[in-house]
Amino acid sequence: MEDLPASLAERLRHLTYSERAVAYLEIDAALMLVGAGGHLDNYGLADMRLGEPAVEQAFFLEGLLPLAESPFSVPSIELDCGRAADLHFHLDGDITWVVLFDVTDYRDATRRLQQKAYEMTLLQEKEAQLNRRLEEMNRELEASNDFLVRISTKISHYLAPQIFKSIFSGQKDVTIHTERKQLTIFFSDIKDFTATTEGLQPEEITHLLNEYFTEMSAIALKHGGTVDKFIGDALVIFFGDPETKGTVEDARACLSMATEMQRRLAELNVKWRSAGTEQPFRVRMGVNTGFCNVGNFGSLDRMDYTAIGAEVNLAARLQSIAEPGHIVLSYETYALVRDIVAARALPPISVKGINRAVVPYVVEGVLDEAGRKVEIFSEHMTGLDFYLDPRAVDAAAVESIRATLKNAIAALDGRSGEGASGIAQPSSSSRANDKAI
Amino acid sequence: MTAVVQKKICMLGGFSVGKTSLVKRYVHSVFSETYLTTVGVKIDKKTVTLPDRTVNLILWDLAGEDDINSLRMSNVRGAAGYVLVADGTRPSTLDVALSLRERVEADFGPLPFVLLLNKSDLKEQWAIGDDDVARLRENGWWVQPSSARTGEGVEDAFQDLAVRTAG
Repeated sequence: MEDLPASLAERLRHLTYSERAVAYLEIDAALMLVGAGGHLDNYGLADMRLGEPAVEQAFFLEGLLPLAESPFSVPSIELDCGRAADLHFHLDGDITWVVLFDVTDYRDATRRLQQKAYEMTLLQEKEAQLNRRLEEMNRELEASNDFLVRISTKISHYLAPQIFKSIFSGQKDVTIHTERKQLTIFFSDIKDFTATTEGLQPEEITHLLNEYFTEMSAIALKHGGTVDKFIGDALVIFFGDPETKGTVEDARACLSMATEMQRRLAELNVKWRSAGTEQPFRVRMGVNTGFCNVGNFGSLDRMDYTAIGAEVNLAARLQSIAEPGHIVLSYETYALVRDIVAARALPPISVKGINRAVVPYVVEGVLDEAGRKVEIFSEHMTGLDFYLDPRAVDAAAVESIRATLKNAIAALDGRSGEGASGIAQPSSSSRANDKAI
Repeated sequence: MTAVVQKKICMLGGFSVGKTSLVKRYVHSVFSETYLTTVGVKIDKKTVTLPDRTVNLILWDLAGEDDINSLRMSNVRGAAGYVLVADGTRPSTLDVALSLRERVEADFGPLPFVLLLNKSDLKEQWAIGDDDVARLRENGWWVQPSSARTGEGVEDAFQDLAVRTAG
């Protein structure tokens, strides 16, 4: 202060004392208050009693006296009265001086800044915490989603793909509910399955049947059929629900499917025969078109998505009167597909629940684009696997097939003169063997 | 006439864990939802009557610890004990509290303290496991959930400190 011009020193003294509301306490070695002055009332310290313990009157001094170091300060102490003060301590001989400076304005300004900074930090912490929660929930969701996908994939094998799709896409509710719809229903059954598989181990039967159903289901799916159920060795498929291309197209798709199944079955029979299965699978097929109830049947606990009604029964009945290896249609189906198949009417039959005379039609062949009948030959029995679809034969193979057939007839004719060797294998892939007969 | 003693007790912990609210609950029996940050030190007095003496607890509510505001160790000078406060909904504040304890002990030696896991009323956001609490108690520490809003654990903590510091 001595370095300063007298006027400035005086001004500073005034500024500090008045503006910063300076007050002081004077404390002796016995920690008694021996002096006090300045703006004591600014700090709620107006009633200080000299000669009494200082700490009892100014409890913020608790723990600080006697001084451990000098000078010593505690910045920004908020006192009972609400004012904030910087406390400055120093020792002068036995006397401890305590000087108070008012810093309330500074404290308030700092508080505003600090408050903003903390609120911001708290928000960031909250955000980070929420993000962690979200990530955790996402992980849980993903895990349960994976679980659901695994489960639903397993369930899917128990349902027709179209039904599965329409349920899992939310198009269909899983409630007991049926609709009346015009469907084309297909029934097939393996003739004398039990007798055919006699002598086979249960594992072999299971394997054969699974392969047969897998192949037939794939063909059904390819043509847009809904595989309704497997009953023993029988197969029920319908067209027109949940997806339909219209009654005519549905019926045509069903017929295309049935003929492709026959073709594929011929190939499978050859394969199974060469694998040691003596008896071929001979399949009867029945097809009908009519209004049925389709939807969920059963109880709330266990339901089946299926079609029921007299028209369904009729399809089953037509199947039962079909010769093995043949397809029998109702008139209603035949009327829809007559431009693609040739069929011959059978004597009318009566079916329970159907008030009209039912005229079955047995399919004799498919029609080519010009409307000409293309007969398909299919015979499978012990000692014979024969399937010929002239449309499917390569032009180059015709002569070879003709020779094979001729040799085959000759072999049959000369059967009484035993000793013929070699086995005819009328498949295009084994043409080299044809000459061996 | 029972003896009257005065003890300085510091409130230590991260920012916004509820140190000021705990003091307000204890001294004035009030709670405010509004968060008002503490700058420097706020001093309050609470008189506790024990069977054999009366203790004036001089509560030094210190500004919260954070990245910019580090605890001034000189403010702890002369303290007879302290209340460590963590926010049970913000696990990081427990780490802050534990590191403060280490620093205080390094400078001033072992002092009586209680550890309050505050905001126990916010059960849905609670983020400190019972296992963690059990582990802390294995050190022989007084660890309690507390709530300045409901008052849970508050009176007990200060009472316990009064007994231990005045003993």
